[in-house]
Amino acid sequence: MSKAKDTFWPMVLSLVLISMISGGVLALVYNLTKEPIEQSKKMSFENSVKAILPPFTFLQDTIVNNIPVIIAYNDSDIAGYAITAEGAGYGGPIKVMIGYTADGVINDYAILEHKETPGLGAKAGEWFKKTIPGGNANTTYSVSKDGGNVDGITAATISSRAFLKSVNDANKTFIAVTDSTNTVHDDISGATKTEWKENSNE
Amino acid sequence: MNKLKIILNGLITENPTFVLMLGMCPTLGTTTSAINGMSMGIATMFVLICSNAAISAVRNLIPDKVHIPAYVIIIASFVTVVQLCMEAYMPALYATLGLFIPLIVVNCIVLGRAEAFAAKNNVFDSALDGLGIGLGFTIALTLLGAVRELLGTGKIFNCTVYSLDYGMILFILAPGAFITLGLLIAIKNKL
Repeated sequence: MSKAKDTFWPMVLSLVLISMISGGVLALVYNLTKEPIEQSKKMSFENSVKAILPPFTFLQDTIVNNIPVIIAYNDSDIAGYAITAEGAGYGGPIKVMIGYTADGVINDYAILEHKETPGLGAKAGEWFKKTIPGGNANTTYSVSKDGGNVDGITAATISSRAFLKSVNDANKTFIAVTDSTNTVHDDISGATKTEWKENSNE
Repeated sequence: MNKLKIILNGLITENPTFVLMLGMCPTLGTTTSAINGMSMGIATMFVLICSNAAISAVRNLIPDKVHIPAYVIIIASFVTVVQLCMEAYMPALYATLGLFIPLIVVNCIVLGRAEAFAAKNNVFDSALDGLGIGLGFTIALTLLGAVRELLGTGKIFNCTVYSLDYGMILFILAPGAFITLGLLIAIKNKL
């Protein structure tokens, strides 16, 4: 087979053909992986919500001060709240979700997204399990290095500060949420009820 | 040309990391643990094998003046396939390596092999060259990741060898990558 010539049409045709084939292959793969990608994203979010909240029967999404809040109900009573917050970490934003019981005790937390250094800031997912759960929404947290009440991760003070800042923000949101739900209970504007499938306890 | 020789060439004689010194960005960036390094190596190996074979198959259809854009389109397509599949089926791995996967497109190993080997050899040999170079890259990254993980966190492939408290944090951070890479290249040259 002789080599294609360096003239206009062979150049245009070869590039068009390659682009078309590539485009077709990518469209196919995109369609094949679209569903699994969405599912795995949804799964990991749902698992986080489930893990950090006290037992509940269904969830309700709402927005308070432009922050999405998930309210968990146990039949008609509020069982708890899941509030997301963000802090500026060492490698990028740290996105945290905090689960509260109805009376403002921090039940548990989950790190949704982070780009912290492995072995250092990335330990936040485990490190604060000793100190943060059981805390109160009225407490303001800061690392002991800044004269605060929580031991930060060794050699990862920036990550620790970012994490605690997001806890504090979530606490503020929690107070705002409980204030608004006390006054306009059951009818938060823009609220959508989502049915929660309880697939037994895993 | 001897088939085994093609593979060994990529693995040892022209090892992309220790001899050619190509693809340093993912080499230094992703090797914070052995498993991360290995995954990055395997992803790159997949792209290398596929793009080498595809480029070799169409090498006579592409005029010389447009061969670089044509190669880049082919490589980018395979990289996107890897990225989508990883996001769908290995979300945890995608979360750690996500940033580096699209960058395989501009990894000079891939384009380098396309130019140096696939553009001149038949499909089967080109695929073998991709396999050899890919394996060489994977082994180098795994080794680098393993050393850094062991010295930095006291673990290897997530199994604790000694307590984290004695780990040297430096090796997990960027300077540790340079130090470890330099030492490994020194050892390789001595052998």
